Amino acid sequence: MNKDHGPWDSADSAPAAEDAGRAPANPWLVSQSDPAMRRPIAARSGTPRIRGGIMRRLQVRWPWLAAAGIVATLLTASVRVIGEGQQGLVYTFGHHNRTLSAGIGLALPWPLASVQAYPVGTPQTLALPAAETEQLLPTRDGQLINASAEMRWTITDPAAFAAAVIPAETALRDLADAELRAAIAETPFDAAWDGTGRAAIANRMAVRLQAALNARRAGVRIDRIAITRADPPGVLAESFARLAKARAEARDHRTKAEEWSARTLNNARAEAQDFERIYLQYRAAPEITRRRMYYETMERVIANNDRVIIGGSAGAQVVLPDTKASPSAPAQPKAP
Amino acid sequence: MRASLAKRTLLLVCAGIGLLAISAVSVIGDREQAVIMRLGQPDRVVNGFAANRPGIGGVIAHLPFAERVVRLDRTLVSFKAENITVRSADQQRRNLALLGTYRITDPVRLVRTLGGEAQLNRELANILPALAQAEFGRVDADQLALPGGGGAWHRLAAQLDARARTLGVQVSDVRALQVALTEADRQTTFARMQEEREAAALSAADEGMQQALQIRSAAEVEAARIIGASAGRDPEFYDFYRAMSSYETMFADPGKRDRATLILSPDNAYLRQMNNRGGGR
Repeated sequence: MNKDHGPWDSADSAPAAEDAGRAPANPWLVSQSDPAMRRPIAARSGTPRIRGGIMRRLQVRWPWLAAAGIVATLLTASVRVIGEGQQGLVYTFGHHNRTLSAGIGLALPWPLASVQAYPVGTPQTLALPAAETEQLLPTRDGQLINASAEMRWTITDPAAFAAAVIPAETALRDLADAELRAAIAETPFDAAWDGTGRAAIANRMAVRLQAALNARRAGVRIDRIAITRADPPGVLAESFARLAKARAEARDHRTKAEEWSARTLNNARAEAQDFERIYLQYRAAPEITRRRMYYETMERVIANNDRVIIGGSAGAQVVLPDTKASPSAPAQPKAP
Repeated sequence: MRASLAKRTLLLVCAGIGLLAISAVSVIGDREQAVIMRLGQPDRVVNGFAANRPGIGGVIAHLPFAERVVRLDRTLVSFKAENITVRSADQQRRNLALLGTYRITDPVRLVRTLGGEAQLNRELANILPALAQAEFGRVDADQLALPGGGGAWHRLAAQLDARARTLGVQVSDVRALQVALTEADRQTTFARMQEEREAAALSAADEGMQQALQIRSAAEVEAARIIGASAGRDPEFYDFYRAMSSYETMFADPGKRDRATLILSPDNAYLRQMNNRGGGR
């Protein structure tokens, strides 16, 4: 160590004024010989010689400025902002001695105190699995289902939450994961897949998870669990689609058959009804009804067709216009 | 110069004292317990675990250098053990991940036996596979997947707890985080699921056809019954009535596209009267 140029020596040997002594004590000033050190900061240190007045007065103040800076920094570090819906646990020297509510609070700066903020009373969402990946879980009947769940949970007691189990968030996620797996393991594949069993899965999961959390005094409430996905494995998507199509077609066949049978039955009923009606007339006057029906039908039949009447013994021959009869038709007069 | 030397010495002494003071003080959190080791031997415990007493952290003093502070968790600690392969009683291989909690109840014993918490975690990971195999080798694979695992999880927790207690640690709440199939078993399962679906698709199609057929034949029978109930009153007249309505449908629809050409002989019943010149038969 070079005593002559040591900072403490200089302060001692220049008793004139503190600022005057400080100036050479400033390492920047000592290093004047080094031009590289001159640029922005060296320029400031060099100024007293050139323009003594203002800088001199500034130099008198800089310890105060520094002190003020430190105080400001400490104050700033003491101000803790707790977000909306959160509570901050203040650990002073490692001990949780008070809780800050939302807004601006004061706590000793680090490392004397630390503040851990938790959302309290505000539901949080947890997705299982965290990423949109395929999670294949075994079902009760030994199949695999791609399941995911979403959970809403609330911290009711932040101190308990922080003190119950560590690491708190990871432990919660792992527990929920385990319960999802367990609930799926108890459910047959089809019930999980077609949706009939999903409410039961979510319910069972919620109840068990809450029980486990209560046993640990975790200060957490499970608000709602929903099974967001319960699909067949991706590699089997095609065969499941084929099955769905086959089922839809079968349903289609049945629907068509039902429609057809409804039509058939309606027709039968209508015919039976019609027959009943005419039969009443027939019973009243059998021969007349029969004749009338015959002529009426013939009227309509002949009116709606082209006709050729070939005379027999009587020679009456009527050929009506726009006949499209094949040439062979008139060539074969019916023998009387 | 002499004064400056004194000053410098003083400063060095101050710095030394400061350093000593800092190394003689530790902050222990509420959620921590600490064993103070004096020359490598556990000397005292700070904020040690006691049931139903919340942890109270604070600043503690200890000898600098001669005493070392070993920090341990005071809360329940969640631990995971992954990739444990077991063979079930029915010779199925499963890849387990376990989830459990432990609590350090006797920190001095833990520090004496293992040294610290990192070693504890390693130790748990070491002893778990053999214990898991011993327990799960007694149950079938499909039971293993169920909650409780046919009692195996409880037995495993008890076994693990017994071992852990010799280390000053209690283990509780061991459960399955994952019961995964091996890759080969996964492929087998996929194949089986696929076969089941193909078979189900075929039978769904068959069943659909059959049901449709049944529905149709049932309707036919019913329709015949309805007609029969009416027609049975006079089968001969029904025959006539049905013939008329059939002619009507076949030939008398004014909307039909292709008109037929009817070649009628005057002998036809309809034209019979035409032959009756002057009336009377």
